[in-house]
Amino acid sequence: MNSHNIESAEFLRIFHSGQPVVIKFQQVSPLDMDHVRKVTETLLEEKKLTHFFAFAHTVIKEFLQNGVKATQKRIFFKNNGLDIDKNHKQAIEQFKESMSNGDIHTHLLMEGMEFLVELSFQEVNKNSILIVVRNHGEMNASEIKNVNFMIDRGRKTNEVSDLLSDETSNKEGGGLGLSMIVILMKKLGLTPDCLYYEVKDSFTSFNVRIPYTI
Amino acid sequence: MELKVRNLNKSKVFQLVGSLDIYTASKVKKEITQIIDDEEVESVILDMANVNHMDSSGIALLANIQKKMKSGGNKFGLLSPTNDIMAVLKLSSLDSFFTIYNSEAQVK
Repeated sequence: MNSHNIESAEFLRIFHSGQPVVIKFQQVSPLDMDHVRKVTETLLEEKKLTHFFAFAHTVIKEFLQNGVKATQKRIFFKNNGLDIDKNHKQAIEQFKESMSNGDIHTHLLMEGMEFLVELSFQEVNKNSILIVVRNHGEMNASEIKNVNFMIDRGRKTNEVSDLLSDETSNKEGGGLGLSMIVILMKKLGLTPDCLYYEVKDSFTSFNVRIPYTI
Repeated sequence: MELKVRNLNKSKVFQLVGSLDIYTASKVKKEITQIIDDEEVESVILDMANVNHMDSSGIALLANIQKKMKSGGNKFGLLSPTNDIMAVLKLSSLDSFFTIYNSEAQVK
């Protein structure tokens, strides 16, 4: 994370200028997460939105983990000569197996990669905070279908505990995080348009907008 | 993620230290499940006092072990989750889905 020591005052100054405050991660360590926690707390306290802290922190954790995983997946496929589009299912199985065996080194970058995953906070229209997590690689059709399914499942479910009895969520990495975020959004009164993803220019981003008033 | 095991009354207590997330949940699940099966454990307590971060994979792990224990008529609970983890559990209304003990004295 190359903005590791960003001061609160500087962070808020950039944020209020309307520019995104960008934090780039080469890895996401517990120390990094502690820093992200402080940054998020500072921002939400200043905006009197502390009741969104647990939600915002959960969103950031989930998106960062997913972003790291997505980037590592692409590095794994490239290093192992796997084609994500042609042999998607087989490639994913190999990746999952390597991950559960602890063979995926989450800090490795490929040549030309400036960061593993990137987090930004931006004030939008002077009325909301936009949190964006961006990772390398564009989601393919199969991954987009899966993400849409997870979002839709969250919209159709009222309680996180209902998701936990669903077999597709009971496997680690089964997309519980995204569905859970959608359920939490509903509980907090955030509308569906506050969550969206973008796939462009060799990157994928997940975005959550927290309005100052609901 | 570090895992230590101790006995407390009739329970097997698994003390988790570190982050319970997508990179550690699978290995932790294997280790705990192995001990539950080998020793026919009737009550499992996960000591969460030293878990500093938990993501949805960690939550799925808790649900998995709870399901395994309760389906056999056995007990499962969480001991002393940190404030951050309690906040996530409360936000997602999972503080009533899991049995939560605030101290060892509450574990019978």
